[in-house]
Amino acid sequence: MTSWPWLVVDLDRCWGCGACEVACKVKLGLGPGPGALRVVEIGPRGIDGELQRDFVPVLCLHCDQAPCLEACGAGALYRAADGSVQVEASACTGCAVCQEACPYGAIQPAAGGSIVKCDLCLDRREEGWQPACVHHCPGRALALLAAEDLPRAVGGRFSWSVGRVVYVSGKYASLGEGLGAREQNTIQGGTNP
Amino acid sequence: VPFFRHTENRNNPLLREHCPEAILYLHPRTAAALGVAAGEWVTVQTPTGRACSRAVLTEGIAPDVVQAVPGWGGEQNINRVIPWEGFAEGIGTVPMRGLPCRLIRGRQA
Repeated sequence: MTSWPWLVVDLDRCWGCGACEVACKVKLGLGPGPGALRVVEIGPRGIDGELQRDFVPVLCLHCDQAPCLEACGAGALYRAADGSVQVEASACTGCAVCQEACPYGAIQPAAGGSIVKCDLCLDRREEGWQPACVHHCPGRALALLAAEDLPRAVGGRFSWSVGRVVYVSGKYASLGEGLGAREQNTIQGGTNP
Repeated sequence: VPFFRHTENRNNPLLREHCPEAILYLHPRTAAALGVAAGEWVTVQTPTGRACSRAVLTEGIAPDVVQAVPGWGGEQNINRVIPWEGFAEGIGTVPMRGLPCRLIRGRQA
């Protein structure tokens, strides 16, 4: 029995508004620039004769096999009791090997030579709140769930995860073979008005 | 972006990072004929006036149609191309859709 949280990202419900990005930056006290979460737009592009436009919130996936953890020689990254990957900022030397090791670009440089990454809002959760991105998602595309609630959230659709974040989609079997491989067909990304 | 409503919040730096300037949706073929690449300035012109926006290329729009976004100020204010006579009776607003326009490459307010 595990009480580890799962951040479920429902790609069918994300419309790319970016409210999660802004909520995350406000929570972390960041200004414009690098952050711990960004929404990547894919398309619109034609797939099997239909226009498809997708949005993927990209953040730290808190990988079970975390390349950043293995890369960090300073002991600034550690696995917390809830399964998430956390930063010990005082130990961070700013060497940036974790940024290079992360395949998702989920670790970004922070002011003062440290790094910024998603901590799944550890402090908010300790106070009984949802993570900021989950709390502020107007499409309810994000949810922090316990393992027993996962099947209902996935609802028989495709799901994909390498750690504590689960991407769910009714359209794509995996981010790698589905969204990722089709990204090359992208015409041009844009910003919502 | 859900947090821009009319002209509200346009000077919030976190929101402006998301959408720093007015954008104009146009079809890639239309942009190519005009010589405009994604992210470049493009000017909409009608007999009423001109407004400048950044080009966003999308196949999700017909090649002979462009879509501008409202709420920006100055030379990016799309209201500058909308005629202000002929209010629709009973509605009290002017037609804002289906206006014939010309596109000019670059920023020519």
